[in-house]
Amino acid sequence: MIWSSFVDLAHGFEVALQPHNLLYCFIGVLIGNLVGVLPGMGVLSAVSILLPLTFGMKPVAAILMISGIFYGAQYGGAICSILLNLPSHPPHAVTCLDGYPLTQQGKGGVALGVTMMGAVFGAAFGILQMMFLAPYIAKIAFSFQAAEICSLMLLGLLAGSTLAKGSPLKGVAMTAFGMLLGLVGTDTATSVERYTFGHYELADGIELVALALGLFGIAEFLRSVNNVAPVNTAYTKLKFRDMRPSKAEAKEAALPILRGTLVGSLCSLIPGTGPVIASFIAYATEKKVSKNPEKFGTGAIAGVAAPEASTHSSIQGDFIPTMSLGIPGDAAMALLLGALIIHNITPGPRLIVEHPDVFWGLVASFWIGNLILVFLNVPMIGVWVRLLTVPYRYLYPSALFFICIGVFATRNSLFDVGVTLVIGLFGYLLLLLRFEPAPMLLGFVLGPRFEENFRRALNIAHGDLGTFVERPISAFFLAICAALIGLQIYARIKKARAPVQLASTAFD
Amino acid sequence: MDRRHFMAGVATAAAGGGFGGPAFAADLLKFIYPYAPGSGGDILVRVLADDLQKKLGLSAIVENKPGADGRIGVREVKHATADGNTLLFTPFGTMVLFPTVFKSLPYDAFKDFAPVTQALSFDFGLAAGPVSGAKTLAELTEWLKKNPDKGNVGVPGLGALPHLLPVKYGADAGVKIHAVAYKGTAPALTAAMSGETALVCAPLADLIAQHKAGAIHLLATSGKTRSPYLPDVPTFVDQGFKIEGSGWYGIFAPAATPKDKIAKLNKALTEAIHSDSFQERAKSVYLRATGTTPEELGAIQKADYERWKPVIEAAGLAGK
Repeated sequence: MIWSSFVDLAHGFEVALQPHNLLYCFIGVLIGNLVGVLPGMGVLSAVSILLPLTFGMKPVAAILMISGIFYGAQYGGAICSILLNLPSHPPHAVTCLDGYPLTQQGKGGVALGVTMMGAVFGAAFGILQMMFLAPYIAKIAFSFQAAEICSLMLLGLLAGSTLAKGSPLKGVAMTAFGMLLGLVGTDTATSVERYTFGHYELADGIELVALALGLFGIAEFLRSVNNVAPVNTAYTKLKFRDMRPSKAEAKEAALPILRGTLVGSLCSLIPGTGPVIASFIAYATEKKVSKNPEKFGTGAIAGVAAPEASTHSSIQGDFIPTMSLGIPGDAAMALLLGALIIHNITPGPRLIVEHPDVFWGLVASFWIGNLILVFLNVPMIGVWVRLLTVPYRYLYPSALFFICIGVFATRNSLFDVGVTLVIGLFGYLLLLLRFEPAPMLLGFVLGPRFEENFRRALNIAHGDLGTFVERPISAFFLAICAALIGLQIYARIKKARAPVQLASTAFD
Repeated sequence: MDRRHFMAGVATAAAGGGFGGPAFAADLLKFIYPYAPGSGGDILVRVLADDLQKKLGLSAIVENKPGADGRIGVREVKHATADGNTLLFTPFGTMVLFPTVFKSLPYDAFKDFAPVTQALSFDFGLAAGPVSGAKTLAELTEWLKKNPDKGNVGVPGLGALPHLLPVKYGADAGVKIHAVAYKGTAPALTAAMSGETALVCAPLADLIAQHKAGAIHLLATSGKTRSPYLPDVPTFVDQGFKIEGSGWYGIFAPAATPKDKIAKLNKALTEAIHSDSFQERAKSVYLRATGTTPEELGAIQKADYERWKPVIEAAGLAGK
């Protein structure tokens, strides 16, 4: 079985290394990389615009190019998050939390280097998984139904509600507030519009990009007006050495990268749980297992490494249900399937057998594409970091401009730009009052998925709450939830007792 | 030849090369598609725009205006300048079902728009996953009578045809059908394949690959006649049910667009739609390229509106 995969892969490399295919793979990842770096162009719209161009191409070349745009975009996505606190691509929103503090400490290059390590490892794991396990993994997806997804989201919310540094009460409050914001829009179960106040623009809810850019980009902009620290020039004369994470830093990143990768690959298996949710869950998990969780949010290497690895492994993993079942995990994959269909290749369970050149050519092109991306990006890190030496009076107004374009482009909606500005003002207020935006984003991302699946599971079980404990996987997640809460209470009691004992010994 | 003459020559050549003379060629045709890139008809409208550009020398672009189930994009076209350069490419729901489903709409589907042409039509399919093992509607009815609480059908959204068809089947066959809403076809399809729900109803095109692979079994298609892509699968009508309805994509202009402009557009668009290459593209995604006159589209819109209004009302889905 494993051996035959290698034979197939060798054939795949033959396909992917044909000059024609190689060229389109290169064009794809290059476009993707640019789309990722520049705010204002989403992956989806980039692909739709380019789609008619692929009609005249051979199917394999077309698929390699389109896929290249998808994973290529992830490489660029973290750059603005880390250096400018501008998360214009949703999976990298969580990277802001520790990436930007690192930049403020003059370690932006290191953060980007760690990102690159995480990206390569996560992607490699995702591809290996696709090579050897695709047919089995696709079946695992079937055991994740509404009840399981609901319990998993609950676990994510519980783990993440203590995401904030500082007051846990404020953290929980912000998670709950994020969940409330997530309620805005049309309820899937009943088609009733909630909290839209008659605005059709809110019927699909608040756009995640608008929320993230408002909370991070605009709020940060407002905070630094007339309050700007002198630009840290220590890193303007960068040598390649300075961008490379030191040995200690690499070691610090290693385990988080591994854990993030596993979280990402798990999330990619669950239908409808793409890289965005993966990156948030990875961050929450990382903070939960970390020995010094208080460092998170102030520039922890792990806080960059885990979500980035998770995003990349999830992006590659997303291709598995798409290619082996013919069921797209998200809108981007639906577009890829559309492209296959238009080339008369029927995606479905028989794709791997009927079109081995497409499947294995794609797998081989993933290896090649990721390698190209590393060569494209690593030398560029220095250039990006030098961006920061652009004087504040030019840099921030242009950043503000890019925020507006980025939000507008997501849905072609001017309304969303207004929403972002309002959220930005609100985010500034939160900053002043020392409320953390991170748990709010987590609540916003996971909350609606929790609600949707909770109600769907009950709908299917005709209202029987027992369904959540009768199903083994769901019960397992709920048990971890219970353990988490139990541990928290235990720790509290122990903490409360400890000084009492100390006091009593002192009296003895 | 000096530069001014040269430029004039280029301009004349460009205008002359266009379809329908200079007045038409200077314009940029914009299709508003009221959903996100990559969803449903997005690919086809891009193919159409591409064909208009390549074959007829028209400049045509596609703009996605997603939001509120299509209502935002439709509203945008209602307010667009009625010069025939901004057109709406929409699935039938916004023009046929929404006037009944929604209590208030930001547009009047009949008064605010002038039909140009129906571009494509398609059928829906009802399929069973491994839970029931049914191969025909009769088998399904029998199974549902024995298992009355298992009639869950996954639908890619409430109030649309994939929701109405199984509900009507349930009412006519005297069995309990319980709709479970998903966000789009893909998760609804996964649910039926994994056994989370017993049934799935969705556009036929999205179900064919899984039917052929044996992961689900199509029980009935919704067209007047059998789908040319699946001659073995009987329709609802074939199996004794009075259930019939096709979906379609139509092109509409703002109501005030001049009649002669509409006629011109219809000629250009139907030419592109009837071309062999577009027919082939439509076939590859299991759609039928139609290309009707404006009057035919108007009649289809009105007939479908009247046909589904009572069904929506009977299902308790009207006026939300």
